[in-house]
Amino acid sequence: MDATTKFALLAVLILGAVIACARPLGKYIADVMEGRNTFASRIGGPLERLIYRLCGTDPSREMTWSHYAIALLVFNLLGALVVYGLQRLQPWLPLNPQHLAGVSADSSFNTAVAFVTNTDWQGYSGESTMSYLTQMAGLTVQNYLSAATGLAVALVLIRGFIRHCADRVGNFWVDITRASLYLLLPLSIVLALALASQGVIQNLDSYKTATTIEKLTFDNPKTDADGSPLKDDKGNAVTEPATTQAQTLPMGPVASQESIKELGTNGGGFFNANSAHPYENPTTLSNVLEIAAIFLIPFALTYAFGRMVGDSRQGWALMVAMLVLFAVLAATAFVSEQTGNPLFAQNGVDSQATSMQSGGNMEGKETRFGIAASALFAAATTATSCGAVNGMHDSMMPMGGFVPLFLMQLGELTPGGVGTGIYTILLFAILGVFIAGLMIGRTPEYLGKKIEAREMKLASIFILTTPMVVLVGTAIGVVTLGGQAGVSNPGAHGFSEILYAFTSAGNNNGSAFAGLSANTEFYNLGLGIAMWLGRFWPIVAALAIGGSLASKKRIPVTEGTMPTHGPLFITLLIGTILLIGVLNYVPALALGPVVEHFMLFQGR
Amino acid sequence: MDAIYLTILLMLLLATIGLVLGIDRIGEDR
Repeated sequence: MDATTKFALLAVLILGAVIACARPLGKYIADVMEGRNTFASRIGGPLERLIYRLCGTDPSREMTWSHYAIALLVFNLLGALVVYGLQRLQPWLPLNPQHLAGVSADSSFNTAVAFVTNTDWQGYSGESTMSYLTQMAGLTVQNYLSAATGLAVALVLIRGFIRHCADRVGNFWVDITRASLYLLLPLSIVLALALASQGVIQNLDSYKTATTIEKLTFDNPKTDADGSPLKDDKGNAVTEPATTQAQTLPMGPVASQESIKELGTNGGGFFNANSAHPYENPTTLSNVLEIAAIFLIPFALTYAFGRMVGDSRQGWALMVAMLVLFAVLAATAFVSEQTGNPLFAQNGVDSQATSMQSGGNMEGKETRFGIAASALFAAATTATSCGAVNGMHDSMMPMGGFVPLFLMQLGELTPGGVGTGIYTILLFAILGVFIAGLMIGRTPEYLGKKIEAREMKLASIFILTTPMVVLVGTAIGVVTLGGQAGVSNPGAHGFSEILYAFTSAGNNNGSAFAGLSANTEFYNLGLGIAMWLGRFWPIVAALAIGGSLASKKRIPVTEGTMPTHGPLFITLLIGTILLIGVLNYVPALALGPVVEHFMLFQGR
Repeated sequence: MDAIYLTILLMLLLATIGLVLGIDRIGEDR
């Protein structure tokens, strides 16, 4: 079987399974989130009511969109404070068998914002930085709550289309409780067990030491009497050669974090190498399960949306648009990686795929996954807001690296993160019908709601906030010494590293290009601010649009209403998404991966 | 250092709540 067939089969297998699950899971999501009497609510109902009683919440009391937004913001701030405190205080807290030190203030700030915003950007190395308590009570808890927050925002926007002359959009506390209790928790338990069956570890043991067969010689950093690293006149670490046969094997409660990391489209790995680490993603099957888990809820939400608005064709139309964009870009990544580096052939190196070798570009990829599964994972993790990686994106070919960048820059809506994907594509749908309305001279409407000036102003805030955060952040990174200091490659590739970091932070993805030294005060602060603004400003705009639509009358469908479930609308939607993405980012992309691609193929 | 980063976090929250109130105000003017 050739490599292209392998890639196509893998993609069809995973996407086919996910789409087959979309209908039953989407129906389940719609039922539990709308509070219908289901099997799950009969089992979990007493616990749900107990949570409301303990928190003093009246589930029947709904909120205006602004009250909903403030509840969401304050709740997330409190979450950030807990994650920040756990990191700073971990030397004095339990479940720290390695006696890891407290995390620095700037890194704690960055990580706290990263995990409450569903970004899960990691400037640190998990196994040498975070205690088990911080991983479980801080990071994993936020993996659930940030995904539930995204789903809650999507529900408000969907209710905007359903409700008629209403000033209330739902109850934030009810929405996040139901999302966590009935959706994220049960699915995570099932996936954690499946991953554990493949070899993903789950324990609270201290780290193990293994004796290697071969001796390893390495440069050991020298330290002074206080244990601080010694540096020479140029600021480089002073090292001495050392030899060892001891290898430390990190342990931890990985499976329970790994499952919600994928299902909640969070992406923050227990270990530094993320899903490239054999304890996080040991086998071909675990890799397939992880890719499927990333897609599962976002695709199911398209069906849930269609069901909630009373016309499932509306949901299928959004899903088709997502699939078309994803398929084209994922295939581009695969072709680029399988083609490999043209300079290898010039130097007499055979990089063709044969029965004896994978060929193409294997740098930065795990041999147990190969090119097809690595390219598909890279596309899946950036088409959603996941950000987990099973290979190093920095080592991809220029156009291979272009794909994850562009998928994030499109707004992560193919199919996007939990909740974020559906509300982002709905915003583009609103923009699409507005553009179509301008072309044919009719008042634009979508799902029975008129789209007017207020919605368009709010949609503009939604769509323009992230590009502003990304492009201004990248510009500051490029021109300041603090930004330049983290770059490990000169020229176009170095520019891509900075652009990728701010794209990942601003779009709440969290994957890294891996060539950037980001655990510095500059990047911890800059990316932290980018993650917060890129998450919560669009959320506020989406909630406001939900509130605005809910307050409007539903107008009946007439012969003059543009159908929003057919090929014409799907084409319009894809065109709108591409147009906005291209207009925002082409100049920046031209300076990074595009120029690098042309330089490479000119032999430079 | 903690005070600096916690203040930045608070400022980010206040700026975002400011956006909520600002948008709400536009709604009243409509």
